[in-house]
Amino acid sequence: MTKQILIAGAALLVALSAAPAQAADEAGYTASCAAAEEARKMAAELHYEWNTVAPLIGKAGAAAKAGDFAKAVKLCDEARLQSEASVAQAKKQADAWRAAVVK
Amino acid sequence: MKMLITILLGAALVAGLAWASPEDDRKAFIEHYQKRFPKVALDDYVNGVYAIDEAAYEQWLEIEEFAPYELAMAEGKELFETPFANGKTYADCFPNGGIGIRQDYPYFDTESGQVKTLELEINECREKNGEKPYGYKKGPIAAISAYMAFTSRGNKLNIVIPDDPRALAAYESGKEFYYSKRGQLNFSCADCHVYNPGMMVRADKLSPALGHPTHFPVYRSKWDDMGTLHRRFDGCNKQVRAKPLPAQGEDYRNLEYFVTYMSNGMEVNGPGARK
Repeated sequence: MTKQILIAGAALLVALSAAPAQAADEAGYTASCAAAEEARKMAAELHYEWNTVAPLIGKAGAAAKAGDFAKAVKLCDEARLQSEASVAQAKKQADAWRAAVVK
Repeated sequence: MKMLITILLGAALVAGLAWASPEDDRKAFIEHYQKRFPKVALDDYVNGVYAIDEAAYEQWLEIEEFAPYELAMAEGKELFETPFANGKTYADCFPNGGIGIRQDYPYFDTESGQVKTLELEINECREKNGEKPYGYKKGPIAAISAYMAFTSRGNKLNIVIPDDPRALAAYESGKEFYYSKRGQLNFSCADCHVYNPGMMVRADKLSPALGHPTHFPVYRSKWDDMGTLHRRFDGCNKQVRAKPLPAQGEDYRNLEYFVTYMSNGMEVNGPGARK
């Protein structure tokens, strides 16, 4: 009986100590994916969105749903970086395309 | 003041020298391919990749004997001739009853200030007559377009850029799209079809852009189906990992305007069969 109480107590301690970390991860996921979505929208407005971005955000949502916030944050960060790269691509191509025209 | 006028005149001169007219672009385009493939006759570019690949050309001729687009073409003819619920037909919407007109598309419509493609006008015709529009990439619209292209075989592409700054802007927008790198792979249309035709991408040989629009819509073995030019644009964009833009949206219509202008004077030979 004492052993069972000890195990239950230890489990409770682990759960209590993990709870704040999970909450932080969830908040991190929300912030990370909001930033990714904002960057995606910016790329879409320029008609330069990459087709790799929406699947990353979709996978992040699935990971978050499964409670794997660390993975979700990683996927959203990747989506944001890709969207930022596509915005940079759009800005560069606004002038760079002229050099490629057959003359 | 004198200095300002000198600067402005200088800038105008530089701008004038730098500006290439659509016709300058088209001539430079043709010269580019003639230098790259000196043995290929200009008229042969209507055959796409088969103009530059002798072995594939022989296989393609055999495919053409029992052309895979024939069923779609027959379906397209039937759809074209079947009256709408109000008794009118597609023939009522197009010049010359819609027969032998493929070569004039796309064109710049000065009234709407937009580029009009054949597929866009097929759907406009349907809506004007109380019918629901078709999807723009495949299915009935590709079939009707195939039939209309077939009735235009042998006619030479006659894309006009009217003396209207909006028309030139649409052409320039299509040109910008064509030469701009996009997608995660950072490729432009021109990277494949202007600067690397004849090179292999995995098992496929890249086709030259010159003549591309003459044979659409096409039956592609990869699709096991017919598809419009905008379906192909969609596929190309996906291949470079860019999110495709809407079929018959302004970007793709302007792109079609530019691409088709580059092939002006070439014979319509659609519908086509492609790998």
